[in-house]
Amino acid sequence: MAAISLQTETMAEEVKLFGTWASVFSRRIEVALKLKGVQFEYIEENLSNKSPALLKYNPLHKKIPVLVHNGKPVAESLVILEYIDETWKHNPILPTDPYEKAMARFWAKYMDDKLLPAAIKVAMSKGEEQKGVIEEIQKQLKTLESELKEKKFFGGESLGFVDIAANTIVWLVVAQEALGMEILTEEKFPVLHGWYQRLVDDAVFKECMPPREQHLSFVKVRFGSSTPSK
Amino acid sequence: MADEIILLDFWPSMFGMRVRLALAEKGLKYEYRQEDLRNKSPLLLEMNPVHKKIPVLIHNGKPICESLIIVQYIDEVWKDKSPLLPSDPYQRAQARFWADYVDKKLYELGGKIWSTKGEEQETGKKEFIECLKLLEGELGEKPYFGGEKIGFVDVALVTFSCWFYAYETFGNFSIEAECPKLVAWTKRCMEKESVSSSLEDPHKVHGFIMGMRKRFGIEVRLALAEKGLKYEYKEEDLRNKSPLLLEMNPVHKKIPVLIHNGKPICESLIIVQYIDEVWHDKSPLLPSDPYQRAQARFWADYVDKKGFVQNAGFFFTHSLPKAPSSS
Repeated sequence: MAAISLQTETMAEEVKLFGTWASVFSRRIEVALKLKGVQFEYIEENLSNKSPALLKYNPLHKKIPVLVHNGKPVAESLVILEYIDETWKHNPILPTDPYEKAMARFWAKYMDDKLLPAAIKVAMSKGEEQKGVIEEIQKQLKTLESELKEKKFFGGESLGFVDIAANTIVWLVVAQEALGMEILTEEKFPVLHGWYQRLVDDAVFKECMPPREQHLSFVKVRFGSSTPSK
Repeated sequence: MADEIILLDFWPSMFGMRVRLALAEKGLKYEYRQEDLRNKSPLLLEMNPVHKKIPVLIHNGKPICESLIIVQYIDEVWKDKSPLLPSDPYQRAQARFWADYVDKKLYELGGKIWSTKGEEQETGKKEFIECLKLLEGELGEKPYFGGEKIGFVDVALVTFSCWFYAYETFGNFSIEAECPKLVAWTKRCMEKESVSSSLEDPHKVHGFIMGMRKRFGIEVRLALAEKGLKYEYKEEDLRNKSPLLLEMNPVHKKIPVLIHNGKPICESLIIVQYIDEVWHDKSPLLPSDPYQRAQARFWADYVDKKGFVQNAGFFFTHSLPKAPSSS
């Protein structure tokens, strides 16, 4: 019965996702939509030549991702994730308990407010400055580890809101390999490393990761430099 | 000789918008400078030493302050195009009277709607509607307050209309239901390019106010008041944070923190959503429709990112809602 109603639901809806293949933000939306089994049309944007459709649906920020549901646009990845969870209520990604939900929102926000800017900084910095940022990130990763504790995922037994938002860590791992840095290692962060492995092995999450080799070259080209700092 | 016109302004200000509108009506080119009101430029302090406020018009190096005074100045200097004030002295006096009425009443009453709750908010709403109804009466059957064309009172009042959505959302009422003729007038004005290009997006304004309520910790206190909840209020000295604060928010060490039955919740918008979900039977704070909720979250996030909340200081011409007295 459930399978039939899901099918009718998706047939009546029009869902479009504007994103880019290497974007940590638009990949989050793909994970959420796939977890819910929502059919959607994916539009790959060229950010140096944004489509008229994107500019129409997100006139304020002109950024991806944008989810367009039956013609109505929603922007900002965490806002879109909550919208998806509230619209397609099966396989919830947020907890139902208000306290747990508040905690989930808190940690997802932490990913974007703290971890992401640091991850970008570490890729762009060199020498002493980079060392300092690496230390900062490692402090953040320790904080995340104490939040994760014994849990399989931040969301408990299965992937949740925080895990999806924490895909930033996957991008961090790609950056550390591409640029030759050592940030998240199994020795320093056994708990978080375990979580990371489970995340990238998850059937749905795996499907939504950028192809590894392409992603590595992308990061090398974007952030790498041929000459090491003196 | 070409005129040099500079406008010192702050984007959500309905007073600054009046000047933008008057300049647009006259077809004048000018340089727009956004002020950071927590870090006022030396130019602003030099040009408006008395009030240190925006808007300030600087015409060929000479400053003019106070929005209605600026609009009249613009009307008198560039008198050949689109006159805003009537030529007859008695009509001019009437126009000035009504513009002054808007100034004296609407801003303060509107402020009560978004920054208070309970009885104070209800009184603010009632008086706000009474003002609008009075203005509606003054408009009568005319297409504009200025008659056949936009005039001084139209300029003074229409800029408030982009704040209507925010007032309606925070006050939970419909201005159109109460004053349909006035709302029809705002729509008529918005058909003019000078008006639509000078007013801000109502959703952006709403997000800005949400941000201000958040910045001043009001959002959480108002949410608690809305739900009729009793709580203990602890004022923190942010230069000497309490052990309790450091224990309850070890990650950020910031206020506000709500402690519910011993469990801490941090980040004001997260706290508000938590309150709304736990006490869900009464007075919903967020819209129930997922799309509207997404819009509300989007604008709050926008204000957060752009740091506009830092510039809230000048909007507080009246006192903040008082915290409940601690026992």
